[in-house]
Amino acid sequence: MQKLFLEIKNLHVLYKTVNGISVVLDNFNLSIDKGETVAIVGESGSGKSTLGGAITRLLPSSAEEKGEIVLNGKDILKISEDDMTLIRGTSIFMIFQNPLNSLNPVKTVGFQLMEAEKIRVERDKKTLTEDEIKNEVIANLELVRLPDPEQIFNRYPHELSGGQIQRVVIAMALILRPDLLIADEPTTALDVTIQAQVINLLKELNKNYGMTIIFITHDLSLAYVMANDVMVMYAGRIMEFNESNSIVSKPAHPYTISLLKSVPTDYKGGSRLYYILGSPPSFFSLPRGCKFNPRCDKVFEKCRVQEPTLFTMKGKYEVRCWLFE
Amino acid sequence: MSDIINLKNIKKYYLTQERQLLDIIFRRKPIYVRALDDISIDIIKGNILGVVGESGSGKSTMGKIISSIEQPTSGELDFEGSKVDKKHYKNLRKNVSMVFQNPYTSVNPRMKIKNLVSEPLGKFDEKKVRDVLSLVGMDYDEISNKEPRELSGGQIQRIAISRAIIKSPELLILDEPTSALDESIQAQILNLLLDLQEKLKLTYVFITHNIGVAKYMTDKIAVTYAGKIFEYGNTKNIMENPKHPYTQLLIASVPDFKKKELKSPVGDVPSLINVPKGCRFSNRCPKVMDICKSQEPKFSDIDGVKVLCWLYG
Repeated sequence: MQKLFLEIKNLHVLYKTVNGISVVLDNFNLSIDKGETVAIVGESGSGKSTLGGAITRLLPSSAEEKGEIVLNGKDILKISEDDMTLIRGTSIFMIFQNPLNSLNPVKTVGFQLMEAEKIRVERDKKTLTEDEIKNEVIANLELVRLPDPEQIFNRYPHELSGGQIQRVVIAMALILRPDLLIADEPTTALDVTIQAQVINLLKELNKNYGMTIIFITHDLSLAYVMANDVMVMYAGRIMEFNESNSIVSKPAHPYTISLLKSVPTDYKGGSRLYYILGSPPSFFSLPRGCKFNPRCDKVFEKCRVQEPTLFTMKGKYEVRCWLFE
Repeated sequence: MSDIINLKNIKKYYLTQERQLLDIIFRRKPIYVRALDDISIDIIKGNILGVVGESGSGKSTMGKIISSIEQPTSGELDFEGSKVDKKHYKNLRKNVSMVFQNPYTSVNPRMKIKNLVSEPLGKFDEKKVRDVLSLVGMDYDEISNKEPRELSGGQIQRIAISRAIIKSPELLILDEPTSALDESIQAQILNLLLDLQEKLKLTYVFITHNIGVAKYMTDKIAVTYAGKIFEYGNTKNIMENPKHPYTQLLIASVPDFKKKELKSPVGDVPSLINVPKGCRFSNRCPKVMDICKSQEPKFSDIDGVKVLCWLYG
């Protein structure tokens, strides 16, 4: 049996702004076993990036977190900032959307990877010479299939393309071997062919090293390709948590169904695309009852009054909809 | 059917830096970025042409050349059969509009919606603004006095589209019009664009990197790579039976709900400054032959699809 690895219990995240308080994550629960891949899918403003920020404790100071995030038996919301710095990078590693922002622009790629390797060596209580460390780094650059790793080693981030930087960041993850990898839209800024390369690399990390991956994306098809489990979020709530195969073959929540239907797959000349009326709500004016009810095509009286709780479908999978009461 | 636009051997080279006096005196060779290299394509009136490619493939430059925002370095652009050049572009400009990717940066944030929409006319004409707003599914009375920041991304894209069609052009160049939008909003805008095209009998050049969207929106597709068109033909032919190894890999690397594995070509897009000799895809191509590395391929015609690859020629 795999042991429970990450458990998020009753997580609330709220932002204090000049316009008032906005509750972005409300009573959020998630548990992930070691070696699993979970994709978090949502449109912009669904709270999916806030979740990534909450787990790494990288949210802006205006954010307030309540609840528990237990990683490897330790509640990371309760530990000090210094301890958190140790966890970041070694236990939790995050890959961001904009590859140019994730590396230091005035240090070479090699310098930054050497730094990571030194942390790893220190953690493993080994002693390696500078040359051995460099060889390790280059070996890891080869693993992510970068051409001419020796050359890349001496380059600065601005000399690399977006896909190359994203692979350097993955090489860094390989070096540090974190238990949990959070990838927040890691391929949105990349071309499709490069995206496919990065996705395949991430899947390898999961398969070969048992790395647990939380993959945050707005693209359902990418979530399907990447993860075993998919969580669909809307307005800061989990709408559906399901196996990736079932999400595609028999989606439960009306929101998931509509999202799937609005992806163009046909040729021109056929019927018009299905679309969801209106646009996602703002966190300052969330509707009463189910947060999706103004846009839902299966809405009934109860949805407008009372917000549904999560109903269990089968096993650990859940859906937030009165239709499944 | 007649052609609305003919591109004939269009080249667009950009200088990496401006030539200074010293460069000329010492006869230093200018360094060019070859954004478009010898591109020919005909756009049929009333059709939707999709231009699909990765970043740096020249697809946006192609849009700019067609709308005469940029002048080609060499080659000829014809609009409705007559040549367009520096002096004769008025007819083209009157009949071509563009819609860009980021709706927020394509409108003046300090202008009211009604003024934004009527801006292309040069004067305020309430009836026209009303008509064009209802065409894009917006209510004049509700939004005319609002500013762009009060609208959502999808709504602003509608405003951008209404600006583009208010002078009743014949050709719209849509440069990634839905890439910045959420999926549920993207569907609304795509439907709107198809409705408008039918109602107003428009021609579209639809530039996108999203294969699914291109498949759904277009009659013909041109696949671009590193400043070249690699494959050009009917959308259905290309999507079902891609000929060029690049097109095959491009389609295989797009995630969809039918496959769990993605395939992709190795390596990166080549630099447009030092373009590889021979075929520009040769360094990434899984079917590369000796000839690909030395000689540039020519177009071959297979089942009505034009392919730029030595496998067929």
